[in-house]
Amino acid sequence: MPVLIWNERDGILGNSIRTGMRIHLSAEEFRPEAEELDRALDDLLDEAWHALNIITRREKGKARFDAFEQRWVLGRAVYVSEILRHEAMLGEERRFLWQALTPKAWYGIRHDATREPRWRALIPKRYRSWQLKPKDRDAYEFLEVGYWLREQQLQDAGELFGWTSSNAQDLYKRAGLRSFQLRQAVLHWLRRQSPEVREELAKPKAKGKRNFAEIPYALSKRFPASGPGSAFRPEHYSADELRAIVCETLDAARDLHFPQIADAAT
Amino acid sequence: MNDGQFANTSSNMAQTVLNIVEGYKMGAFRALAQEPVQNAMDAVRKGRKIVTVEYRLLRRRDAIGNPCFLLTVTDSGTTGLRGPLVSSEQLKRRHFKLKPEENWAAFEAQGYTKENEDALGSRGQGKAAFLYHSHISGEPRRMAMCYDTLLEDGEYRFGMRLARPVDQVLTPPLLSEEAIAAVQGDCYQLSDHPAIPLGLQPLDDVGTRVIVPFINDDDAQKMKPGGELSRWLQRCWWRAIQTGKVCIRVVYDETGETEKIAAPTWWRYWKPENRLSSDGVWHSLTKGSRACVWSNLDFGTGQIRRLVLLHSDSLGEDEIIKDYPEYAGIQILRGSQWIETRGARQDLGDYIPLDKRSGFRGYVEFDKHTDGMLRAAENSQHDGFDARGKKGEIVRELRAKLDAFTREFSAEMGWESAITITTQQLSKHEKSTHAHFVETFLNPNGRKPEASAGAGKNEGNGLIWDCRLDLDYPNPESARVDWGQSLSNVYVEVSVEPSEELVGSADLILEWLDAAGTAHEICKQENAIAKQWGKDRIQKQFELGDWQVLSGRANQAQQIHNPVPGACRLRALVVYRGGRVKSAARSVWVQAEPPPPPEKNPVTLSISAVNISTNDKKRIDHGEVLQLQINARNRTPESGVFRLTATLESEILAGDLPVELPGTPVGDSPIRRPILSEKLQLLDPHQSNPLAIGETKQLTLPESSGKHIIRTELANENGDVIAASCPVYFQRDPSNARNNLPFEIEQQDQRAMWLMNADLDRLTYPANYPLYTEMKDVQRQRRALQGQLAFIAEISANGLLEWAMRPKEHGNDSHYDQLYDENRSTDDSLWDALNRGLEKLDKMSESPTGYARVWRETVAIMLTIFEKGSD
Repeated sequence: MPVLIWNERDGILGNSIRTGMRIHLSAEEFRPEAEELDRALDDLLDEAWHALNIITRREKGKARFDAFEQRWVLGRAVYVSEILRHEAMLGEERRFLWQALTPKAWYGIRHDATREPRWRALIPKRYRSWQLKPKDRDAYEFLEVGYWLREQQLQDAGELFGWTSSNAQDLYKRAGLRSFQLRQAVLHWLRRQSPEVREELAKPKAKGKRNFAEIPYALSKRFPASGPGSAFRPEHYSADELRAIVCETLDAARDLHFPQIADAAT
Repeated sequence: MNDGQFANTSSNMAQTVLNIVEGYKMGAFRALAQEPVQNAMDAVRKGRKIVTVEYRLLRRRDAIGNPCFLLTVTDSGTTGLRGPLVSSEQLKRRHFKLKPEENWAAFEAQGYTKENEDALGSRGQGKAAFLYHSHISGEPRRMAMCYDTLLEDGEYRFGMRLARPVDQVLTPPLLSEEAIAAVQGDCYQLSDHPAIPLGLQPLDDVGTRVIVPFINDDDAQKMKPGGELSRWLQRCWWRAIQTGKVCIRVVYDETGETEKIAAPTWWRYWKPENRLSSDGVWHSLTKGSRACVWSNLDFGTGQIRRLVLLHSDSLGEDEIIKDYPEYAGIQILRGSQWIETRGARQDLGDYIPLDKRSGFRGYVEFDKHTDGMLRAAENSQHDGFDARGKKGEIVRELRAKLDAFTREFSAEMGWESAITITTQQLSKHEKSTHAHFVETFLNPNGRKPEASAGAGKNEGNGLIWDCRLDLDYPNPESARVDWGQSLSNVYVEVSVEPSEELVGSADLILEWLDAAGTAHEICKQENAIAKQWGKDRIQKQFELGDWQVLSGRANQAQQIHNPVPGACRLRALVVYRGGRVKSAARSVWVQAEPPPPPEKNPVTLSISAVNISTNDKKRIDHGEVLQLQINARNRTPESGVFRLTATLESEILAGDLPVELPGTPVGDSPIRRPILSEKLQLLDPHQSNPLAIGETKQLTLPESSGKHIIRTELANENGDVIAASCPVYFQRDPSNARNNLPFEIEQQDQRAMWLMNADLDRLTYPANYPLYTEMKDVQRQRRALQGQLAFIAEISANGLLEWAMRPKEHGNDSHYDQLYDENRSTDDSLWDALNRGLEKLDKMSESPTGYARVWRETVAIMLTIFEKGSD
């Protein structure tokens, strides 16, 4: 089933219908369903904006929209709204929802073509490749990451990824490490670490230092995406077994990469 | 005994200078604008924040009264050419190493490094940049330069260098009063050396002055204020000027005209220092111009301190030379010095429309650490970076980053529609050639490939056939059969499903392929495979007895006449409605020793995952059934017990399941044995469950759509593990193109003729590959291999082989099994040759050149098959 994609050229609004299902003549034949979905997206974006406005930090009275929170909020709003169960989305790939949602929020266009500029705050400014390659799957990865992040509470997710979207991206990139259970196990391990270790691991990778990326790096050795050792995924273990595996793996990585901190601790 | 000794050669300094300066790709004036200022900034005096450099053109008369020009380049705020005078003997004793503060000695020497100085400064570019512009009349080419310096302690020095053409330095230099007198004198001449017109005021501030005499008239015009020299000075140093590190003046002494070099207009009145953000801060400027500033951006191991991109329709092109970009693009500034520009046309043309390129400007600067890394990748002329090797990694990363931000800028500027036009795309003909080629060789859902279908092309496409051929060799561990010996207990089992789709019946043929590959039918059972009412799956067994191999004539039944020793095959074929739908074969080495089994990956896995609810798509929709079959091959003669693990998402299909794999006699083709077979009805978590299909297991996937991976592992008793995986596309197509191809073809900026990505789902080639660009763009296709389409077919063949062979390195035969199929048209020996080629590639492990040869041969076979099949 279809989605409605808004666009704006020189101030003039337009829209088109897109679908991943096989069509006979034109996707326009699904316009009524797409418009209904578009109306539902208005509510979703309103909810998301209010949520973002509440949770976002403020500096000198001005909202400081953080990419991590933006992602989580939009992912959570999609989940809570159950928009993926909408009739128009049945049997449809999720990327079509992203293709509809992103320009709608960015250009701020309600279903009746009235404008809602506040929605732009929901889309991280750095991710613009969707404007150049609107059909590219990778262009909407920030939304995929957000939808994945929403499985955890914001506080848990923020604590795990140091409130840094690139850290979340680092873990998400490794397809074998996306399970919710694994993230909870890593969070459990992190909470047992010293403040120094946690501080180091909250930093995004920079200047040749992996920092947070040590975690996905170490875990991907234990749970490789392909090849020997890849058949059993984190979700195939019980919570206790998984915690034990994660603690063992990450303790070893910590001692290897932060020996000074490990030494100080002993 | 030879009692000779080594003597210094009279090296041609003039030629050395020419060579050095001609190494500057943008010419001698960039060198003259760049080197003196760079040296001055490197020699800034302690406590001074700004260095001043003055280029002054003077008019003088030479010794015989002809007018000539003199250029002086004076720096102040620097240390001057300090340090002791070091003779060549002293330099030799010091192993040609100078101390950091020994500026005078460094300036007089040629090509020696000071301690703690990198090799970039050791080639004498600074001196060459001056000398190059000096033309002493007469032949051969001769040059001269003088230099005077006032030091902090009040000492005054005057030196001179000649390239006539040997390299000569005034030794010892003139000091104090003598030096001042020489500078002030109308002409300085030592014995019969060329007389240098000077007549200058002595320096009154600490610093250095380089005097270049005998400037030719053309160059002199370019050195006047507003001339080419000024323009190069601006390009190289505008940022250092803007940030107050240097002040540069160009003066024409004759008229008193003075130009103070300033930042270009588009950067002069707008300093993006106030608001810093890594997300980019947009500025609307006058006349509809827009700019965006990003700060503190990480890339690879480096950090961009500031990236500024600007576009203005009112800006025109302002380039001195056309070959290399200067302003139109993103200037890469290392330590406030312009090194190179990522050109709006040359490098960023994919993101900037044609009519916007001349008004596009940008610059990028870095933190100190990154500056250091970039310097290591910089060429000695300081006018470019070397992006190769480890040192060049930072440059490659930077270029990619700049491209990405230009794309973002372009999107914000609304240039995307224009970009679509400028970006080269694959033509429809190319896409269809690729699709046709791959489909020729693959049977998308494990079914019969179209190209080999022959008369029964469209019949029985919905049927899944299986055929197995068993026999006993005289020696159970080897496929060797000597004349007179028999292949015993030949047994064929054929199965087909779904039963209801079988129309009529099928024949079984047993044939012998001799060492030359010629097929001889030795047994045929007509209409032997027919519908069995009440059964979903038809299964038929044939016990065909013993077959004796003879070198002489076969007089009796069950005898095979095979007079030539070598690798032969016994093949069972299923013929259905005129087409050969399935076959199985065993190797037989008649009177010959078979090669040993491979050492690497003697046991392999393969996975077949087919949507059996529909015929023609890889995609599986809600409620459709996935038929999963995991197979293994054991190439060793010994049988073994292994443990199988298989998972799909949270479902464990097999957890450490013990499986026994019989061995393969040496020389025989290993038999693919099914070790796990499962039917799964896949369900969308957001849709209501459809009716269950018989005993088919239902599996609800975690998301409405996605690519899910079936992962399998097989471990032997020693714990050695091989693994294979296979994607399942649930409610999504494998690619945007909605086709069933295992990989897509795309154009990409790359060096190699073709590349297959790590996920084996994207084959790329460069649109500017020389061979491709030289071939004709096909507007109207008449033949399969024509113009650029032939190129596409060639890389598709290579891509297909790589797609099949690469997973085998880890014991995964899944792709190979799709390409290798005994089920080919045996009327055409080319298909058989393709199978043999694939078998050779499968077995070869030692010689890379041998492997490459077989690879090329196999590609050639594929192209011939494609050409024949298509035409």
